Parts: sequence; C-alpha cells; structure tokens
Amino acid sequence: MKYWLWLKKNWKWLLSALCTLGLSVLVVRARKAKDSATLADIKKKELEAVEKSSDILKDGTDEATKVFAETVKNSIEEAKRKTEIAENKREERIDELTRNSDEIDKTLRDLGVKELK
Amino acid sequence: MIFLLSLAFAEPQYQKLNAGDVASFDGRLLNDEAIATMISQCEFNVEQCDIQNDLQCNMDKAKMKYDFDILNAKYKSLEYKHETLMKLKDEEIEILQKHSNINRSFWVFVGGFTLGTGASLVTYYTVRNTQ
Repeated sequence: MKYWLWLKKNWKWLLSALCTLGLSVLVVRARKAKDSATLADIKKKELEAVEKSSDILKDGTDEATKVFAETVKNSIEEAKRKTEIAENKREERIDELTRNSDEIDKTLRDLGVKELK
Repeated sequence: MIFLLSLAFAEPQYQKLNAGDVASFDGRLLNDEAIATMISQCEFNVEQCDIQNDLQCNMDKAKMKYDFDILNAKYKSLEYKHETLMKLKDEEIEILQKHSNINRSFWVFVGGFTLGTGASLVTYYTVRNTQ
C-alpha cells in the first residue's frame, strides 16, 4: 500500500525517466541499424565495383581482339592484292623485255653484266 | 690453280649471238624469253620481299597494338576498381571509426556509471521513504 502511494505521488518522475531511457535506447538502435545498412550497402557497392571492373577488362579485351583480328585480316588481304599486282607486273615485264631486246641489254648492264662485242 | 684463279676473277658478261655464230667463251646460251623471265622474276622477288616485309611489319604493329590495348584495358579496369574501392573503404573506415571512438566509449562509461548510481540512489530513497 505504501509503495502504491509513493508510486502514485511520483509517477511522473518514473515515467519521464523510463521515457528518456527508452528513447535513448531507440535512438542508439536506430543509429546502429542505419550504420549496419550503410555498411551492407558499401559491401554491395564493392561487389558491384569488382564486377564492373571485370566488365571493363572484358570489354577492352574483346575490343582489342576484334581490332587485332581485323588488322591481321586486312594486312593479309593487302599483301595478297599486292602480290597479284606484282605477278601481273612480272608477266607484263616479260612481254615488254621479249619485245624490246635493247631493254634486256640495258637491264643486264644495270645488273653489272658486261656485253662482249 | 690457274683455273681456280680464272674462276675467281671471272666477271659476268654476255654476248649477242645470231643463229650459227660461234661463242667466244664457255657458258649458257639463253634466248630473249629466258633472260626476260629471269630478269622479271628477279624484280618480282625484290617486290615480293618488300610485300613480305610490309606484311610482317603490319603484323608486328598489330600485335604490339593488341598488347598495348590489353594492358590499357587492364590498367583502366584496375584504376576503376582501385578508385571505387578506396572511396568505399574510406566511407567504411569513417563509419567504423565512429563506433571505435575512445572518447565516445569514455562518455558511455561515465553515462552508464551515473545512470547506475542514480538508479541505486532512487531505489534507496524510494525504499526509505516508503517505510
């Protein structure tokens, strides 16, 4: 009965103390929850960054391989084209030399072969 | 010995001959077509050599560019990863530092001590007043 009377008289103090305690516990828990969420978000962003860096590497490698294959293909085609032109030129040169005997003499002289008169 | 010397000092030469003429030195008689073929083949070989050189040069350049591009891609990838992770780690460190703050721990200790003492005193006076 005595306790009850005392409680009835001082309930405001007790309630305010309990409210303060409860509020501070809630604030601390909310802050911790917020920090935990931020840390989880950071971990997620880290994984995304690692994945994106792998994507950058993959894209770069694919592009480099594509450019390399294209360049090699073009170089080989150009060499084939030049060889064909050179072959045609050789045939034309044979005809030219066969028709013009003086040109054979000139070429032999250019090669350092002396004509014996 | 004389034969060997004559071979060593022999110089390339040719002589125009008509059918039935007598050659003034030993050698091979070729008609114009054969000589034309030899000359043009020689010129073709030089040109072919240039073409092969160009091809090899282009292939080497392409390989070097490929290696450079691969290294560049690796560099960009690692640079992005490094910069992003460093920023995130800085954020993480900042948050974790708040939790491991020595001053904060001290004030938590002081607060807890004060709260505990206060609670004890309140209990004591409550019991005393109610008796």
